[in-house]
Amino acid sequence: MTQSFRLSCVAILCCLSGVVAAQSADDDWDDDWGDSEEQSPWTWSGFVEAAQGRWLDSQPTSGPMQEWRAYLDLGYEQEVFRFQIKTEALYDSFTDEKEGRLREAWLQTALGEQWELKVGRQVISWGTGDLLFLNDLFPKSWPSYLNGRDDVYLKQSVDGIRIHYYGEAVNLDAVWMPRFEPDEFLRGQRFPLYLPSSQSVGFIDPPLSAFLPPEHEDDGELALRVFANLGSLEWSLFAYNGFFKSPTGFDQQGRLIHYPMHSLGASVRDNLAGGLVSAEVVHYVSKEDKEGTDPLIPNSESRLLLSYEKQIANQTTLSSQLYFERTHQYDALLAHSLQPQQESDAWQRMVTVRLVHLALMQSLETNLMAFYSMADDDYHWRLKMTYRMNDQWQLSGGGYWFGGKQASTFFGQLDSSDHLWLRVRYRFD
Amino acid sequence: MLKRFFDGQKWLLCLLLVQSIAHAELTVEQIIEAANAASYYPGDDARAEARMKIVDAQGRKQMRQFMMLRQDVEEQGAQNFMVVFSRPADVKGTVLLVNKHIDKDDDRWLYLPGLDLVKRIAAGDKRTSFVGSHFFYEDVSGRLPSYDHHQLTGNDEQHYILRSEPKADQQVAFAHYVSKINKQTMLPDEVVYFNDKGKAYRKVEIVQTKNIDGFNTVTAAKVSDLISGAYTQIQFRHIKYNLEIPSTIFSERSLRNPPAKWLKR
Repeated sequence: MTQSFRLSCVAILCCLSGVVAAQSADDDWDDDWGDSEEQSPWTWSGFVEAAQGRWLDSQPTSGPMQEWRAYLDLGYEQEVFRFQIKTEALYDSFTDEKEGRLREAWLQTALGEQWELKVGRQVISWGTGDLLFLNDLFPKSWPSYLNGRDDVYLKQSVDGIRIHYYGEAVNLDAVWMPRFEPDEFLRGQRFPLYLPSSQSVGFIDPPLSAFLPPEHEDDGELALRVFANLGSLEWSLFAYNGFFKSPTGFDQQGRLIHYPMHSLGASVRDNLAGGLVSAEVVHYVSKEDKEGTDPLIPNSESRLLLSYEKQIANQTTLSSQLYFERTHQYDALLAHSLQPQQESDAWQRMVTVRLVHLALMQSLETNLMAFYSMADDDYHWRLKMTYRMNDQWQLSGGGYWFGGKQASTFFGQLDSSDHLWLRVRYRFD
Repeated sequence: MLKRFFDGQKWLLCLLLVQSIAHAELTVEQIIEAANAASYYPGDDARAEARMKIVDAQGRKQMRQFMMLRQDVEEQGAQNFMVVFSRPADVKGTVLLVNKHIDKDDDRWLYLPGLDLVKRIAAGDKRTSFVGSHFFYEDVSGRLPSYDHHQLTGNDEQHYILRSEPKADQQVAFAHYVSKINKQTMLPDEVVYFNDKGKAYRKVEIVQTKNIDGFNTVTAAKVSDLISGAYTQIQFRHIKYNLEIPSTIFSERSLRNPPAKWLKR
């Protein structure tokens, strides 16, 4: 396994050096704007990518990421509508799965002067958090977040209808997803998990699966945002009706369940003292356990995020976030809990710091992010370096470290999952 | 207070100097104002297509291609910019929106299509590379004339020659720069930046201008790193002025769905 990782690295580096040599001989500015005098409505581009990870700790597999990916993006644009199809073929040698995926396929059109409609499979993001999500209740892929894939794979696409209204004073953004779109959660397959039953950390075979309560199996989700700018201040109000995105409850058979939830939230963002400040708040209502007395169903909770970002030196930006999470009806939770000693504190507090430095005419990005949870006393470090060799080749590498005092906390359970990863991508258009 | 007085004295000195050199010609202030207007404010709004060739010291080449919309909120004052990238593949669909202000930090947003994320960018040093090229943000959106002290040092058939020094509160890499302002077009045909050792290290030059809709317009320019030999060339085409672009176009709506009506040729 280790040898295959080394071979991949060698192959990747050989490819790169060959390409650099070929690239320097290439010189064709002259008249190639990449299109004819007619503006074509069609656009296309793509990439192929090889990715490898390697555990720094003793694990039964060589690493949490071993995959090959080919991606194609095709678009068509007219004055009144446009569509985009993003497809990819993936060979994941970790799970030994070969699959074709439709990452996005949507049609966007204006409905009169002020309305817009976007229908189909699409990626949707909103909110102010940096890898922390309060009102962004669109599905995430937590394995992708942890294993070193490109940041875009943290967000999963949804099948839905999105309507925008752009008014004089306020704007509206509404998304209806006819089927529930859950997070891809940690299933004990790629990363070992803490099992409360055995009070130990391990891989789970078969991997965990989760369900909707039977009476909600056909229910979808609705997400709303009302937003506007007041000068340079941006404000948003959010509402959501659906389910807890990750399965945080159980049924009587002990299966993982996504219980119904609705939420209300708000955010503001503005320039302050040469930097950028934002605040976001959300209240999740656990619809089937408002009193907090059912130990199988998660309680309601509130979350608050405060962020500041500033360029501290030339090409260097520092940002920090303070995150607070409050579990409601905590006394009821403890009184009815099956394992009160295993419950998290009523208050969760976390701090994150991110440092981004650009060098070599912005072709080399060094990105370091740290998470520390005061309540759980656990941490996570993410170091990522991206070298954009030219318009075609990009080499990324990084290391992710985890740890904590107790194996039962989120990062604590990943204590033996530290790993390094390397990705090489060739783009074309 | 003392500093302001001193600055005022310097300005007065400059003015006297200018008047003695330029005789009946324009004053420094008039030249600077005209050059700023010609460079960054022709028409009330504009659209253009641009491409850049970035060549490093080893001769390796990169390309950037984008469409630009510009709108003046006030003459020689606040402006809105939108830049929609089409090449290379990794920035395709990325959109930059800038609300440029005179008296406070600019507001800048970047739309990342892969995540559908409208990312706000902290107001920062404007003398940093524009998308990996040798151009700075400031070369694209304009450096405020009030940031520097300007002095007319020469005056030939074709050019006014100005020497500009950053004011004390400006933290910049250059010690001064020398501009050659074309007397006919009022565009800076050449600007050379000098470091504190008096060595020229950066040059921005106009390669081609055309008269478009009555405005003298830069259609090709080049910025060179005089130390390493690296450079970036930029070309513009399909330039149009006074399209009457509504100000609502410079909003989140256009970040998520670039306005084909205004971007088309």
